[in-house]
Amino acid sequence: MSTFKYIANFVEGFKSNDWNLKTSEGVDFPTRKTEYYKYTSLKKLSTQRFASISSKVDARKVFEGLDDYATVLVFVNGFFDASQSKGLTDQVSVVSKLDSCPAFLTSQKNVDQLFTSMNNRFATDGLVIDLKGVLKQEVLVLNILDASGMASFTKNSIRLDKNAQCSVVYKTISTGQNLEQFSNNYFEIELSDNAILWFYNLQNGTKALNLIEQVESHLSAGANLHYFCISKAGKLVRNNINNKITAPSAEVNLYGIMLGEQGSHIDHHTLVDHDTPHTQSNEIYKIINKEASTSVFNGKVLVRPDAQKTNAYQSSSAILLDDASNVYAKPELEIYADDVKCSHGSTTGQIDKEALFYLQARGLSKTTAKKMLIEAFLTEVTDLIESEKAGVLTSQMIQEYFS
Amino acid sequence: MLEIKNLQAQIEDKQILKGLNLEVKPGEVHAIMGPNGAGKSTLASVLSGREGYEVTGGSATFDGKDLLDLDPEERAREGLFLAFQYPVEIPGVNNTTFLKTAVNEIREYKGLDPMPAKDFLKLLKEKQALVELSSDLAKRSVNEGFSGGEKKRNEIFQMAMLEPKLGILDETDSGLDIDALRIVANGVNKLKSKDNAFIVITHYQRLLDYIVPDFVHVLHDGKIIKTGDKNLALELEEKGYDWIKAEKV
Ligand SMILES: Nc1ncnc2c1ncn2[C@@H]1O[C@H](COP(=O)(O)OP(=O)(O)OP(=O)(O)O)[C@@H](O)[C@H]1O
Ligand SMILES: [Mg+2]
Repeated sequence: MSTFKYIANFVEGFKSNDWNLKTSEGVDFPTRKTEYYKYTSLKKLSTQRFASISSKVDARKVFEGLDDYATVLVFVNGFFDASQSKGLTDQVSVVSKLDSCPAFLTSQKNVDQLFTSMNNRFATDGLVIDLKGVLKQEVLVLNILDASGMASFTKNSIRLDKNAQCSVVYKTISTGQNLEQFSNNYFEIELSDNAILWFYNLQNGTKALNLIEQVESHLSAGANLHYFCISKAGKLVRNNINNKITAPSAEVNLYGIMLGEQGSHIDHHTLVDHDTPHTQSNEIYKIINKEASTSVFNGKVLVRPDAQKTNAYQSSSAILLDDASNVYAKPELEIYADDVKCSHGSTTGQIDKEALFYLQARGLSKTTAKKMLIEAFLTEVTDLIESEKAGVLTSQMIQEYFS
Repeated sequence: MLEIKNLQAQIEDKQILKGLNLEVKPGEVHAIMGPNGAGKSTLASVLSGREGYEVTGGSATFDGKDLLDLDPEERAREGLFLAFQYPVEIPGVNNTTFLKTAVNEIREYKGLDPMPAKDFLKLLKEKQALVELSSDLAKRSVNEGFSGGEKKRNEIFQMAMLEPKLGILDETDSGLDIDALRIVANGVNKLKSKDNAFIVITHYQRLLDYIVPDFVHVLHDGKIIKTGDKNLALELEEKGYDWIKAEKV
């Protein structure tokens, strides 16, 4: 295992080939000219010095309600903390790069080479779910980021056997305030026939958090992925959510909420690759921006020539709470089959003034009224959350956004 | 209670209210009638604090306070209620949750503790019965998918819940069927007391058969040009507005 070395900055570390990515893996450092990073500049990362740092954090202090979960996995700065974790079995466990690594999917052409390569090289520990049957209770995973100037990398894998079902609540908690933090997490998701996974990714950032995550999912016949991700704040947050459907009747559902504040930059990049007939994808993204923050939604749907009868739906809607904030929404449809139903829509607007006045005219303060309207705007997504626990955690984040 | 003196207001540089005078005392019901575009809704908007209107002259005080200086929510908390001519639909905002928040924010303003959940539910049921609003409607998103008449009934339901000192009803009767009209009017009559007052804006004398006004005003071209008792409404129903306009010149 090579831990992440203290480096002057990202570009320098890359240029000097300290990471050995440029030559051995032929990786380029993305710039704004790279289409994939058109709206998100990695320059934001480049001035910062990061290193792998281990730390001790009392999980109970940063996450209320730990005892409500039967299975808890705590990672601090990318290192598994066994003493605070519980409920591990041979089906829900942890892998360390020091152990023999399960073979990660390599079949997919990776679009975000830099971070995937870095993750391959520097990942410390990671969650491994290898499940047969149905897990009734949510698995809680805490990705706690402590200490400033910290960089962490985890590589996680979730494989559900035929008909298996489970629900994962993955929460990133950043305690950094002054110096920045960098967290990179890779998730490989493999769903066999008729398996169902609910993945709730709760990214609770601070001004100091740089978070780059990649999901690579692969669905077999009749499988169902429900991937929900809420991102709040963070200096730079980038989610690459790539999904490949290779057997009929499978369904990918991606739901997202971006809550931008204090100059944050949040970017969700999705890809759904329909590679077989009779499959479905649904994407609903809700975006709120305030305090000169920026959000990006880029949703690519690829329907390959054989993928007849594909049903792909995508929508993103944004509310800008001030003029200094921005949103970029870009649907990308590449459709090579003719008998398909694909639709997409994106809207950007302000709070409905008439509705705001109506609520105020009934005695609600402007702040309360705004909050009520925004919560209403988000219900299209929050209503889809099936886990009560994940629902509570999500509404907590929404409340925090207003406080 | 409400004292409007020489009120002048414009929207987008267009003068709409041109020196309007009106005094409303506790226990009174005032009807305001007048042709389309006369400025009736504008008056209601200016009084309730809607954005986009510029007051260019005159004053309006509510229980001695300068009404025009208050935020819309402060006016509501002081006891002003506007039943909108065109209530907006607010998808995703639950009618009951919204009312509970309104009730409690008003109570907080008055220095009272939040209403216990049990009492709130009791009040909700009681007022629902008063305006015969189905509990299904009360639980839905605010006005979303409501029929025109249901929206109006929801306005009166909200008014009943908030028990304002002054209720302004802007054409609450239009769009109501005959039964609904009677129900809404009954609701208003039951809410009426010696301490509160109502301004009823309407085009039809029919409503005034149920809600009997103490005064009937005719608003024309941004001013009140005639005031009478309930018989004036009957006269208007019969003769229209032209004779008053003619009288004026
Ligand atoms: N946003 C606006 N911009 C320009 N003019 C406006 C605006 N809103 C209202 N007006 C004008 O102000 C005048 C008064 O309108 P108001 O709605 O107050 O009339 P009203 O007496 O309520 O009529 P009705 O009986 O039809 O409801 C009308 O001529 C109307 O066109
Ligand atoms: Mg009107």
